[in-house]
Amino acid sequence: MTNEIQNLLYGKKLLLDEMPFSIQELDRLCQNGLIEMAQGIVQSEIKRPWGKQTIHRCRRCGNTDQRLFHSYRCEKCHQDCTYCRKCFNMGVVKSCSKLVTWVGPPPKFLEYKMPICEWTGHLSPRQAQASEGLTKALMSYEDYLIWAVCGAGKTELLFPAIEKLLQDGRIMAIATPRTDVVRELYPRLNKAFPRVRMSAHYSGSQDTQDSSSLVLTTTHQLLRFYRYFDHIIIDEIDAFPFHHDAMLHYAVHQACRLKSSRAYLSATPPDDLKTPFLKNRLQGTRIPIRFHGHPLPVPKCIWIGNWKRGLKKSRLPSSFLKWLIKTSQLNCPIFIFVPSVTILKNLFHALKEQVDLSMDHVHAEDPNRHEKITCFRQGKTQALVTTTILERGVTVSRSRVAIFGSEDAIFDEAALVQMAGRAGRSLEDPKGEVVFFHYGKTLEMMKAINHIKSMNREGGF
Amino acid sequence: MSLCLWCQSIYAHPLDFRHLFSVSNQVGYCPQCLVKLEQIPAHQSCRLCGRDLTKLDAIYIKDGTCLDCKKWEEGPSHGLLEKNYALYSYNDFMKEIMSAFKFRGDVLLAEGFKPIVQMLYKRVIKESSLTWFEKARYLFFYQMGWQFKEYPYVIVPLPLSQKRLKERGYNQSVVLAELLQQRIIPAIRRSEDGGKQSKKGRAERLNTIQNPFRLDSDYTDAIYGQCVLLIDDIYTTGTTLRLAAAALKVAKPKHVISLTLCHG
Repeated sequence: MTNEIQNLLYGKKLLLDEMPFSIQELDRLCQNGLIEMAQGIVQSEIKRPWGKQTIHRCRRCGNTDQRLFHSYRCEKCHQDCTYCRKCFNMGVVKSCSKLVTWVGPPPKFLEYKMPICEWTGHLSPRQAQASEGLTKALMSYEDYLIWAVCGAGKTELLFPAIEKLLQDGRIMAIATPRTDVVRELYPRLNKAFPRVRMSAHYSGSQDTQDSSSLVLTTTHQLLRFYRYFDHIIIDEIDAFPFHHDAMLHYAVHQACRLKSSRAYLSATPPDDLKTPFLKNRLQGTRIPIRFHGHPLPVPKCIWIGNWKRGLKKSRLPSSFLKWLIKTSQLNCPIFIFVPSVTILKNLFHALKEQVDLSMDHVHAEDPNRHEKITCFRQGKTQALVTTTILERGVTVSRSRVAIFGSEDAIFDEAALVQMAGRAGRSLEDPKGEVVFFHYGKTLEMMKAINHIKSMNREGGF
Repeated sequence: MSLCLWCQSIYAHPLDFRHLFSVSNQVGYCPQCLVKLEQIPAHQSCRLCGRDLTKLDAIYIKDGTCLDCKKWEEGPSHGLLEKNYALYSYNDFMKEIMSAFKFRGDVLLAEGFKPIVQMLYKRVIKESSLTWFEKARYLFFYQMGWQFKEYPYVIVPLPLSQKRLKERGYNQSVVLAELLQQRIIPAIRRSEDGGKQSKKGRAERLNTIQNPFRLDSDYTDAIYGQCVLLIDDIYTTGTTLRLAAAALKVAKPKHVISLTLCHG
């Protein structure tokens, strides 16, 4: 019994209500000092010029935004009880709920001495170099940044590094903000490391073994861990929602052991990583070429005038139509990115009327989203009008990319670079084409173009 | 500027004088979330259960009521529940909100419905059998937020069983009833637990024989000869509310009506 609890609770921070064990058993362990129970919400008072103010803090997600707390009369503890609305999707944390952690000795982890990686591909010299650098840095507990262009093969270069670190007895996590990525990556990793004990955590996941050495997780699920990992590798560090959400940074921070290090993977690192890297305060490598060795397609800018006004009357800019018809004759899939859902619908209806093409539209709340994307991948639909949800993680060979209304504030440098990265990813058609359809160039557009150009320059083109 | 209760995006309230001069941080839903809720139009709802008749085929409607209500009226529980008022249709978005509010413990979600629930309560008063003077006086007091010693309706939220209340920590009907900011009379008790109503099928619900509700004898006087307004979260078949009304019948209320957040 104690062993089971140890396995479940080691390195975790779980709600007492979620535990499958009896309270008496847990109480006994608590008195023996093997587990620790802490209040879910802590209260503190600070002095303000206008008087005292009570500040709540959530012990699980570290939330201190007072707008995201609410108190009500609780019938469980017969007091005014506060709960955190930030992380309540993972089970509500209230003042009267307890968070349980294991503080006793750690359980036994499996040891891996033999070669465990069964991945047989090979790395390009650039990838190999990055992989070596990563292993070295993580071995000596230092942070590392891999700044690789879209389609450089970031995942593959992790494999050798993971193997070496696991053989050294390290416990690692690969975290990413997106559930889709976890789902896609898990079978690949399972194939590469068949003998390693690993688990995948995402909301609604079943396959959650305890005390595994390699954990694949979404950044949200990291909140369940507490001082468990030696290393966390964060993929797509700049992706929504990680970029803006302090909670997720907190999640990463508290899931690491005291002595630990992190690795960041991105095509467009945010400024707080980019600057230290460029000033040599953060170790890292840049991979400016794709695995097929061709340069990134540089976006073209085409001015389309006041498209919003035209769209209201269902009129489409002529240069956009011309491009679309010309490209559709090449018989290759076309991504059309738009800034918002309302524009998506208007544009889709206008296109449907005026262009004879098989097309579809997709946005984040579309229930048939996955089927539509599969259709597009298989080539059943030729053009896909989409919001920024498809800006990363989707690979369609021979695709062309149009960004309609690229001057919109929602498209920042990272988003534009990522969307441009959808084009020319396969070996058969390494060139691709990216066009920004705009009504006035913005700084972000220019930054994105310069980013791509500088990457190409560094790659020797 | 407020945070939306559901999607936590920042949105602006439409500017009016009340907001211009107040510093209160109102909570609510953003316009994008509000359009996903389907409000039931008052003049096109079923006379008895408050269902949205525009979503029903014409063959199921007979002089302003749906056939379900017709059946109730012909059956033995005729006249137990005079009328039900409902605010929203129970669509997929509402289902998500209700599951978060009821089962996952996000109590604040109810607060976003406060203005609209209060509006519905005013409609209830307006359609009541009071004289115009009493109505006007009460509504004025209500609008000003003053307490009034004579209430036109005794507000009774539907109870949870003790076990469920311990488990959940709050009663969602009480939370909804508190939005009205009137005196609440917890006159009914739920004695024994017959399983969750939301886990049962339609036939099972309609065939509930044993009444899980009973009247709390302390409140017999408060109910006697009064109009009672029952508050619940959802009206599905109407069985629960009618059972509660049957339990109240011992205390001889004048009549019983009900107010629910959703219908479906």
